[in-house]
Amino acid sequence: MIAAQTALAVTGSTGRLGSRVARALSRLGVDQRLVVRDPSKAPALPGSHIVTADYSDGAGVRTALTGAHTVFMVSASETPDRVQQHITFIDAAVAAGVQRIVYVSFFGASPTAIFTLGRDHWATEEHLRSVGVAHTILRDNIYADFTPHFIGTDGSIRGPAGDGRVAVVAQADIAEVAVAVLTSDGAYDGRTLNLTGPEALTMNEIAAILSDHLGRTVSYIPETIDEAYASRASYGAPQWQVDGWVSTYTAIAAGELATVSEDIPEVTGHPAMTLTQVLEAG
Amino acid sequence: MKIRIGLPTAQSGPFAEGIRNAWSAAGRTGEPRLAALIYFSLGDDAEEASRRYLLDYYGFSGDVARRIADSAYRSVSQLRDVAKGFEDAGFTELYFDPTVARVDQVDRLADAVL
Repeated sequence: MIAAQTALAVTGSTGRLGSRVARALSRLGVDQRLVVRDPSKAPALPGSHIVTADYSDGAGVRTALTGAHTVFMVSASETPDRVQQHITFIDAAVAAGVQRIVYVSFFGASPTAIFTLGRDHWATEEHLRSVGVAHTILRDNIYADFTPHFIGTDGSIRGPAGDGRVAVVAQADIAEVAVAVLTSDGAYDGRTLNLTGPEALTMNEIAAILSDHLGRTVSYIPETIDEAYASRASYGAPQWQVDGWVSTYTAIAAGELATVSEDIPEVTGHPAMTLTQVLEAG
Repeated sequence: MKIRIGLPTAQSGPFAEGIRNAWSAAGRTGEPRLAALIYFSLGDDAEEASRRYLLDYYGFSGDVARRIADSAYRSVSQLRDVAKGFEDAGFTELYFDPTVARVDQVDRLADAVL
């Protein structure tokens, strides 16, 4: 069976980043197995084969990854048991004989990261570092591509980001780095790459750039933390989810997403894309 | 093919025009495909599942997930407006992502925009 011989396994190909990576690998003529939960949603790409597995199903993951050498691992859905799903996945990959895992983490991942999801990424990284498999960690900042989606239905950006800065990064750059790492035969083993844009912007600056691009005025209206929780209370969402929403901005306010890294230029050989370039590229 | 996700904006018309100009400047014949994608759900009974799906899919992105879940089109008049907006901007295709896996969304959408 051809699928069992394909050395590179890619997760997340039904999502935005994973699909970019899978398409780029396909264009390069790299054979890959696409690990998905729902095969009906998987992209049909030349040189790819589909295997079905859920992160929380260790036996299923082990079967899906048997014979794979390198795995591109994007994180599971944001649920309270996400870290356990990641641990199950990593352990099953190692048991299946996988030699290298490239994990998509978040910028500044730490047990004390203000952005609450950064703590889950750190716990996953720690497990990855402990199991003895070669690995590369890609710590992505907030996607520049998503900044238009910070705008609410009232046309403004509202959150407790203060006058903090964020080095938003292009998904295209992240995908290019991922492809370079996955096809480098281990050149980045042991590295943690910080993937950021070329400049750190305040929310006011982001609002001004979005205003220029969209042809209408987008304003940034800072909230206090109490106001942020109050304005999100009507959703009736669980506390961990609301904490994730609010801490997106408080992490910016605290400066935790402001550092500009040179890792994208180092890996790709070109400067990281600016927010304006990302928006103009559509 | 260029795909844009989200609202038709004042920039959508110039964006489409820029693509067409580049297309003809490159000596290509025919028309470029200009596509946009929007999220929708129709029917009061579909909204909760639609929101849950979008919050899950975009969950990694913090508050962006909430904003995207809010921005889906959930009324007949909104869907008519957005279809006309992209048509007026010169887009040739508009993809309607139903956000809930139910066949009735197809019929409801057809009633709304056809």
